[in-house]
Amino acid sequence: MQAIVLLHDEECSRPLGTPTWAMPIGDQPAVEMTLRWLQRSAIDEAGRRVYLVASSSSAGQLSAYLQQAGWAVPWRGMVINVLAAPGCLSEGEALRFVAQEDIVKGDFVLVSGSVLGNADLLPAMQAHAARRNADRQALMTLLLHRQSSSATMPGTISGTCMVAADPCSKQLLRLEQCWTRGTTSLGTHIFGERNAVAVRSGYQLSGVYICAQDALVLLSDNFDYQSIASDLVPGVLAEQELGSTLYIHELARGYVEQVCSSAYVGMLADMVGRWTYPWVPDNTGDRSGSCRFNRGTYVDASAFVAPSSRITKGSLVGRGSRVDVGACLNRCILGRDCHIGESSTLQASCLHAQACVEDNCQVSFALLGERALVRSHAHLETGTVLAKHTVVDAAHCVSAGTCVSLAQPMSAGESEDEGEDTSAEQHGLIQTAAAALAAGGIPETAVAFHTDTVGPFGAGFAWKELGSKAFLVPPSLSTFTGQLEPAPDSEAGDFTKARRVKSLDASTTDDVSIEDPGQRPTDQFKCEVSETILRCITEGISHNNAVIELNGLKIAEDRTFADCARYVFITMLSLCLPPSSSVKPEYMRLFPDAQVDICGREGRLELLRRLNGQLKAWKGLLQRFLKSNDDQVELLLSFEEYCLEDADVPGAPCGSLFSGLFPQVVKLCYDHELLCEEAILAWAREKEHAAQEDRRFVELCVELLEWLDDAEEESD
Amino acid sequence: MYPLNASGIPKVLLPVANRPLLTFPLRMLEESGVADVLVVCEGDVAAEAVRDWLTTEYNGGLHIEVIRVEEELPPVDALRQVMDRVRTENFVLLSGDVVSETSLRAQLLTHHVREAVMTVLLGRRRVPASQETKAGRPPSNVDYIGLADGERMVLYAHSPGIVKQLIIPPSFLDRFQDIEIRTDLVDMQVYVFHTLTLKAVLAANEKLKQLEEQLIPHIVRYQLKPRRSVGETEAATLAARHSPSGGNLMGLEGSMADMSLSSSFSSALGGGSGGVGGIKPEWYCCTYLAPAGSFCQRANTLQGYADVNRDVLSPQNATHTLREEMNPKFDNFVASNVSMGSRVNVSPASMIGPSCELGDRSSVKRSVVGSGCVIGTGSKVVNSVLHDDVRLGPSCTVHNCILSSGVSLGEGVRLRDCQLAPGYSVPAGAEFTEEVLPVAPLRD
Repeated sequence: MQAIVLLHDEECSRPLGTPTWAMPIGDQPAVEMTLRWLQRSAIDEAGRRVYLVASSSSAGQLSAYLQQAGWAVPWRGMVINVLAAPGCLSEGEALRFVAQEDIVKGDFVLVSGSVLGNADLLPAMQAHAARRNADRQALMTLLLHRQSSSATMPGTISGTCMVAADPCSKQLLRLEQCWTRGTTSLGTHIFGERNAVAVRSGYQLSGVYICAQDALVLLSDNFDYQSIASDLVPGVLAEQELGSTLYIHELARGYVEQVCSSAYVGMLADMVGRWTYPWVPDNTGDRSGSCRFNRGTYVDASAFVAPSSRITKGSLVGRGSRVDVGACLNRCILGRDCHIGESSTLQASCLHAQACVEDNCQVSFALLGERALVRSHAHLETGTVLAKHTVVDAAHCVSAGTCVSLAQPMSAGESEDEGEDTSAEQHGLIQTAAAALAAGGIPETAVAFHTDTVGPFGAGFAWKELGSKAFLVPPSLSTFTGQLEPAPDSEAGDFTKARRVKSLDASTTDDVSIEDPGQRPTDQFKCEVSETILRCITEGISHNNAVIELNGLKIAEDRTFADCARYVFITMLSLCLPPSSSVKPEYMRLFPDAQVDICGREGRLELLRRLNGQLKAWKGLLQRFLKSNDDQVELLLSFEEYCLEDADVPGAPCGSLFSGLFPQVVKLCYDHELLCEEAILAWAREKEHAAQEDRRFVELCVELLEWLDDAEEESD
Repeated sequence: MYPLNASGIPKVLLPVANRPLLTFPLRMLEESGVADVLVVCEGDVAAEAVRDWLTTEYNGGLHIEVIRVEEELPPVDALRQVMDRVRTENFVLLSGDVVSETSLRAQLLTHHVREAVMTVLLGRRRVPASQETKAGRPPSNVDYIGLADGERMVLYAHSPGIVKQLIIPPSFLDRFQDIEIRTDLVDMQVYVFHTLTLKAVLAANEKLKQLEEQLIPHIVRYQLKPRRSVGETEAATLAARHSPSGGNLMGLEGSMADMSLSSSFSSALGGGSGGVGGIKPEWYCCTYLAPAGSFCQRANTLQGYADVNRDVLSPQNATHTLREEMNPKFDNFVASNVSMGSRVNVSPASMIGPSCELGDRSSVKRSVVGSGCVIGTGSKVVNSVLHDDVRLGPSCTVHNCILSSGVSLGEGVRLRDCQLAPGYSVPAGAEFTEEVLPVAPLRD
């Protein structure tokens, strides 16, 4: 067996300063895990050769590690060679380099150097060999695995792909990567040769390929192929007449996961959960390993854990770490020599070697690189990533989703080479400055760190716009994204209540005469509507009578139906919140007493629950005033204004409370048949060319809109 | 079925192995425990003919009622007209041209156990589509059937021509992570429906006219979101009513059915779909796969009709499809009062009806010969179907043909791959290949 292990530097690892293959899994770098896995799954004892392809910049570091870890000498018949490829970044380039070197003969296993796995490769290799014997054109076998437990959080289906394959021969017919929810159409020409096609979703590419040598030739011929999955596979499938065939192999059991942006912290959780056995912290194969597994937590014998600290199940405290009095660790992974100060609370976070969190800090869902330092009373919000050697100043709060690094983010105009020039001189400077700050001193040369992100005496630059490429710590769902959407599998159930209102009859004519909101006087009318509603509640007046009263007001003031609807709706919104000062004392009791805390998930849910109750009670009335789509669009517009606390909508002191819940409220209205699909989509369309600021709420609703769009297509 | 039905005889009364086609589906229903059957016929002529046959010749134990619908009425509209008559919880809808030895009872049980809204009988293709199709080209005239978990139908596309693309909606990919789309199965048009659900679907979707092109795909398509088919409230009501019925197997006996000429019959027992424990209302579209080797075919085309005639007589099928013992020596069926000349050859898998006269040196191979036929001296009949009272002159050769009742051939006629209408006569010495006689009148 031969294996090519690719250690390319990924984009996502740049701010962190650690290449993915060196990301620690427990106590070891990821590449160690990959090598052990390969060694374990190798078939024949003799002649196993592993080629590690690394960029020249990290080849030295890698060789040093291999030397130290004992891989340098052939051990149990496995020979490891390091190939330093000049500046290769993509899979395609690395393999073209290998092809050029002309060292790999015959079939080989291609795997990324950052894979953590325990699945058995043997059946896949045997199946591949059998196919090769039967058909020399069998180019490659792609290994797929079921989405594993916690590595990919629900909601992030980015990793899954849609595969169409022949159920008998396992020949791959179609591969859709990064498959997002959307209608899939399957060309029927693939049925010309077979009677059945299996369509699988919920599988992931494991990043392991078993290739024939021809694959290297093919990559050399097509020098524009960068990635196997997104260039080579579609290319081969599109030119099937050339004869090369691809196959899939589904790993039935076992664990395979690659260190990548969204999976890293999940992988660690899986390791602590022992899904990756035998690669678990207390089974390092190292005789001096002293990690002990006790009641769901791993604590190294040499670590100090203060008696009054609390460490919950699923945590790992690495060698030489120190957890002080009153600290609380909830599902946290601590590397070597970490330090957690007194009374700090850490939740689902991961600390690399020598990271330090001082006293009374709050850290949740964060990733702290080597020697990262968080000073006392600091607060790291969900999804923070602190790279190597960064410092967060005392009592500072790092906002959610920030990525902090000592490397300077490249600005748009700056080209790659310039970046290198500056780094040569500046890098040392920044490092010293950060070290000085970490030691509590003042740096000799001031560096313009982003102090608004890391605090006045912090060190680090904020990396923005990393988006999904960053090492995103899995968000604790709703708190981070503000979404209350459940996991995708329960989607159908969630939306079954939604039924669109068919209220388009006469009123769908083209007169889009939406009044200019600016011209509406702040008025008596709103107060009157609101008061009528409140009185109706107190006196228990029936909906029909309330409608008559409101209609009377409407005619008297010469208003539209939309106006009535808008103010009824706003009254309902305000009924979900504690009374404002302008409310008359006799109606005070209608309002809830308790203020809700919209920062927490509980509070938001509570607010939605209240609104749901209001809508349930009043939707019959509201529907009477939403005569057309245009009225519904009006309603949405006024809800936007309410959220912005526009002066035009008086008595809306807490409108901003709802702004974060905008999509959820719209969804609620949709469920209660107050808003129909067409109206919501029309509203979005109307905003299409609006200024960025005005599109704010449309953007919040992107997911909902997509879903509606989707649903509409489906109903067609 | 032109020209076989040129004289107005309904398809279901065409003879298969010398008995009306309708006997086969009726027997299938009877054996499954169905009690009441509605036969839905298009037009007065057909209805009268079926009624006549039922009163004079049918001797089964079913309670059968014949209902007439207008001619050329789309099948689903015909179904709409008779839905009021269906009072059982589930019913069977089957085409009158099905000749099947699969157990309808097993299908009903599957339907019941799965609490399905619809259970479809799937047969296997005689020749896999891939053998008839070039690599890289879409096959034509196949049913694309997508199955999840081996029996839940999640995709259904039927088209007599070529389907270019199959559409898989996102919700299906989410819900079913493993779908197998097969082309080697055929919808046999034997369905079990949940009555209330079907009624709701028919009421809410006026546009549905065709059975396999529209109604079945519609139900399959909306199984995850029934509300999109029948509306919010209706879907909820249906789901609520689908509480597992207590009657279970007992329902089988007290059932009722209806059927139609080119489609339709029904029966019943308990059942419903997945509204268990307040889970989202979802429809379960179930399939019942004809067991390998069991006889299951449709006589819905001339080819199919000829195939069915031939295949029911083959030694491995004849005993259980016809319920008659073959002549053990020759593996064929020859009525007792057939008069045979000298050196007559009747091959295995052939059937000769009563009162036939076979002339000297005539031979009949793999064919069905109706009653009262005369086969002249030295004539050969191979792979053909002869209805009643067909007369062949001397030295005729008939290959792969269907000769309707009353056809007469003069001396030395040679026919290959022809279908002749009732009463047609061919003059002596004529030769025809691949002809329909008389030529079909043009239709607008």
